Amino acid sequence: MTSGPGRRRFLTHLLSLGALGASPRGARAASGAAPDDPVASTLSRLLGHPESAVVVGRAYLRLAPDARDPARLVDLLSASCDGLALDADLDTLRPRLGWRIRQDFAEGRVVDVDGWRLSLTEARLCGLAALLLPR
Amino acid sequence: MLIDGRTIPSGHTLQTDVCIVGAGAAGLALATELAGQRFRVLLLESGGLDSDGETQGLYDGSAVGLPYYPLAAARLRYFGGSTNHWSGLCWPLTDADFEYRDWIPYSGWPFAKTAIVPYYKRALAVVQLEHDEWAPEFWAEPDKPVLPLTGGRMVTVVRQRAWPDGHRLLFGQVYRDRVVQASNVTACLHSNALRIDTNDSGQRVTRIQAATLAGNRFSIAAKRYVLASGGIENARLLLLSTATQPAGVGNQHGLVGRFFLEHPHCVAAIVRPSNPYLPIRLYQYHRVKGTLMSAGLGLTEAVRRRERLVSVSLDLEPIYEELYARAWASSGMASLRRMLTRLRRGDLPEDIGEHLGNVAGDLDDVAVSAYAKVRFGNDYPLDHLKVIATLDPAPNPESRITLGTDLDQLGQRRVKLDWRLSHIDKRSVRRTVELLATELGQAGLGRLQILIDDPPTSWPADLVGAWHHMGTTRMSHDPRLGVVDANCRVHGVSNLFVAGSSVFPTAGSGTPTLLLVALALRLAEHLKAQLR
Repeated sequence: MTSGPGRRRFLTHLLSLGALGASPRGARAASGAAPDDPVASTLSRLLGHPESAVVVGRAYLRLAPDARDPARLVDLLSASCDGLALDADLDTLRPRLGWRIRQDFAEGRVVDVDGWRLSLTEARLCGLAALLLPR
Repeated sequence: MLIDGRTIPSGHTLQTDVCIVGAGAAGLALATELAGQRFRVLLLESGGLDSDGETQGLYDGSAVGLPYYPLAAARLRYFGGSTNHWSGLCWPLTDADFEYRDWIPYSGWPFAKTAIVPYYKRALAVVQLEHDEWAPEFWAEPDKPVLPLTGGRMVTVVRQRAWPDGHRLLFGQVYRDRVVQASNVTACLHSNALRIDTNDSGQRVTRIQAATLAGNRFSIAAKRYVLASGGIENARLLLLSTATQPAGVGNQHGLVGRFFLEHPHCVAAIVRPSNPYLPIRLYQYHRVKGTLMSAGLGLTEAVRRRERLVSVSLDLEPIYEELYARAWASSGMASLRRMLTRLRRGDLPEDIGEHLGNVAGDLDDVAVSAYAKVRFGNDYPLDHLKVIATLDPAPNPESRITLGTDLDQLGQRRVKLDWRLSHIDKRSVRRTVELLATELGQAGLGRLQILIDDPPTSWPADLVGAWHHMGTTRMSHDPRLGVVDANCRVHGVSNLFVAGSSVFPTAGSGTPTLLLVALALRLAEHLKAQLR
């Protein structure tokens, strides 16, 4: 069981996921250093709280060491969105990912990260954020 | 009529037709239903009309097994019984609760829900609830909608609270006059049943021995006897009655006291809503159509069958954003609320100076609360939701009441409670919140953190019971599986009956009071037919 302060911190980090599924909770600006990688750039704009997504992503990568390859994660995420490139424009990407995440839940493609039940797609997005975004 | 048992001479025998032991929800429902009949009813009550410490101390006992409340605090021993601290929660069992389910050992009632439905309807009148409506759509309003869970795994379930006129329903107060005025009913206060005497074969009760804390001892001889003294004391009295039956009356198969059931609950999950204004007001207590009600969530019966789970109901407790929650809880706001309440009644609190000081000292919190009220009305932004799981545990013969070695003030052995749960109970809580996580994720409503271990090996530290004591004289057609039959008659004893939740063979997904009242009304009909 996650301890109180740990749970609280993780709750905050999960704010990052709001930008994907439903209404964002006052999305903040992306982290200061603009990454050169177009996927990283998309991620930092896609995620309401990229720094929090990084924390969730690190926890996910500890659970799934084979997901530590960014290229593989990009391929998996792209494949789960019918081949849509991850550097596509946000207006296209966001609903597609949101739909994919809901489908993950419906189809049981979920993963438990620090007790939080997440869709595999959002866990992979956070994992990718942990690998690509500046610290 | 009311009499005081302390005035009855020692050695005297009271003659009656029906002796009911205990004036709680079951005993009072039964007695008032028998009021006006041609036969006499004696209602034996340990306490007086109000609580007193010495009588309440007769409820002391010990608990081993899962941690439990002090036994003298978990029930009340005076006129009205534990309804004197009853929260009024009413929620009928489902059809499935009455059925045998092959994945739940010892499940199933000796009759289907249809047999109890007419009495459920009458029980609603006893607890003064107006609406026999349990579909969430009946209660939902535009600003209090049913949560749009679309996966088909969960349903919204309705609970009503018996709080007529904004106050708790106290059976002892509401039904006292009816007992006093009934010419055929006598309530004998301050009188404790000590022992049930039977004939030599044990097939017929001949009298109940009683005593008061003042020291006099007397007996009651009746045609029919009904134990209605609660889910623990019913078993205790049977176990104490060893004069002709060494294991206790009705205990020829060693079942009396076994299968103790509770409705345990714990915080099983945390939900972070995607939208801080997630509309959950239907799921919080509020008054609608004249009734205090709320809703919870539970798995559909089809899912529960497929997953082979016991029933788990989920309540959502909102935790608001810290700024507003802290401001609302400040002493300045508490003082302001206190003053406003008194002002509405046309006066002011005596310590108004202190309250004004609190408001002045917490002006920032008062300002935040005022802003929140204007900005959000009653829908403060949510930080997260606590998911409180209450389960209908699998009947477990090792969960039981026995007699300890300590004696009470009357020289009676006190009870020892060994409350236990089963692996299927933990697995069911874990799986139910997993499926809630799935539903919330699929609907885009939020994410959920599960607080039950995987695999579920231990219970959260906050696991507690609900003061629902059930199962210790369980009902079954088969004397090897139950203490009483479908008519609540003790197997093998022709004139001894049990009323109350101790006869429940399963706890059920609903709450016990409405059902035990329904069963008491059904038993009253049975007794009327027998004594006509």
